[in-house]
Amino acid sequence: MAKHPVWAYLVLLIALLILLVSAFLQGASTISITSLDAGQFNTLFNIRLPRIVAALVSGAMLAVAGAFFQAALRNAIADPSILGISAGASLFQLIGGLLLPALLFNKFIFALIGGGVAFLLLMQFQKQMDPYRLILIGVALNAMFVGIQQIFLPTATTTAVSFATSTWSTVLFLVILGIIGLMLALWLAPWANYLKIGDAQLKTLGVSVVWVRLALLLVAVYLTSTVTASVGVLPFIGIIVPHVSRYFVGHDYRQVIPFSVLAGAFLLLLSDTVGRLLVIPNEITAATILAVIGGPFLIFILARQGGRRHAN
Amino acid sequence: MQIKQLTYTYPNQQRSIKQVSFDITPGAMTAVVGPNGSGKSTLFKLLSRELTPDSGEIRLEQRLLTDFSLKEYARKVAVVHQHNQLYDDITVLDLVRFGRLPYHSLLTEPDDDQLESILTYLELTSLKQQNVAQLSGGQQQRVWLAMALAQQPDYLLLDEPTTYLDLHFQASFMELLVKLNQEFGLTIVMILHDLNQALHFSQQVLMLAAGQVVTTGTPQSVLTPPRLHEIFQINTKILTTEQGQFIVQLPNGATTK
Repeated sequence: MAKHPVWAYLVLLIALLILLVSAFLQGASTISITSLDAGQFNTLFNIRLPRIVAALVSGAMLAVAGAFFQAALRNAIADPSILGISAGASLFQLIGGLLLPALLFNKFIFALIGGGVAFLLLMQFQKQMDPYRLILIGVALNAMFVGIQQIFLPTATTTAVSFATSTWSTVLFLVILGIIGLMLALWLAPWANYLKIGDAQLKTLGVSVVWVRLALLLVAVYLTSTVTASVGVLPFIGIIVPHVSRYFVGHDYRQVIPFSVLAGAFLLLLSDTVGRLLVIPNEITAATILAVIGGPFLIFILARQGGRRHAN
Repeated sequence: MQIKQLTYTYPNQQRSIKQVSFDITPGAMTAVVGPNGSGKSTLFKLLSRELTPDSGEIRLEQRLLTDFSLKEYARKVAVVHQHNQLYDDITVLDLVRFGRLPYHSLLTEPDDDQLESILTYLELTSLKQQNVAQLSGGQQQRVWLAMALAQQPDYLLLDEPTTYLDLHFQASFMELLVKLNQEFGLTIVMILHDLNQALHFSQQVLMLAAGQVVTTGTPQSVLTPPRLHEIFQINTKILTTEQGQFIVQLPNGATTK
């Protein structure tokens, strides 16, 4: 299982750089950086750049959240969108916006509560954490939250999922919260490795299993909810990116997490940029593009898992 | 390690151990034997602190087990389970390094102290970058043993450590335990299914049945055909050869001498 992470990082970084430049310069109006007028400057630095930053940070956060959910729940197909965490956060932040519009940071606070509620419900129904039942319950919760949202707030659901409205004021908060969460995740990455062995064994090593699992899940819920409050529900990043990362850098979370940060940023910026450029002057949302590639990817993983040997 | 009047009943009331008292001799190899449901695994879980006794006590170096923090206990007592669960790919070296966790707070990463010598001792050096799940059963069991040794414990608890191994690996694994016991003075407590292993590889045997102690003593004094008949309902004969004594199971209905 020797991998060559250095090459993987290098290739990814170069790809990210190329993507960044083209996302910056390409759009409804293609701009040459050498001859900028005031309007073009505004388009670049106050419309495109915040949007790019929002996509990079959100992608990184969702990818890491997925990796932590997979480690903590010992479930290869756990993902914040599949588990219903994103939908819970989304519903609550909209409710929060209606009930207490004046409360400072109300979207973030309510999204966090919503993500937490969704997660507690998930755990309540599935204490034994049988991998497939957990996912099925997550799917049901997800459908329920989306349904409630559509009953009460039929118009809100469609507007939430886009980076088109990103401005520096909305992005700045996301960036600050995101960087805190990602630093925490990088620091806690070794804990995700500990959960590769059984709870009873971990306890005989003097490790408090409950705290390790709880810390990872809290960080994952926090990352998911913060992204959802800022840009809406983005499906499948949490499952696609960690899997691809494991393929390239191996299964050690001290590698998986930093690589997922970069790969998640790459995937979401790519989805958003493609969506922006594909049908100019209209846009396809990143969420739609992710759903289109994420669905088949999930099927691929499940098919591959079926034939894969199980440890012991 | 002293076990006094130890009693535990599972919440569903179906199984229990009652009033088990026993002293584990430091530096010895102790085998715990008994039929299925005799309470061997319950006793193991109480010793490894997976379960907490309803009454009675276990003392290690005169201190109650509950007085040790989990970490402190993990530096004294290491555990090898019968069924070692692994949920994801991990290299041999990374898994063995988990054995250093008792010496660290969760905020610092485990060190590599003694890991190389342990891997060399258990002949795992060439496998250290391999994925544990892809190793043979015998190799895997040595990896888990290596992790336990990395804890630098005084006591090693093993729950039927050779159950999933073929005969060749069973013998070599048991010989390895003897070597560890003799060379490093490691106190070994092992639950054994195979009565011949208990006869050959232990100095002390604790026999349990229906959650209670039947008898304790040297293997030769405990593992006698009449007692095996009484407790296991099997007919046996002790065969004495140049290589030592062996318990041979006879067909049901045959008479023992």
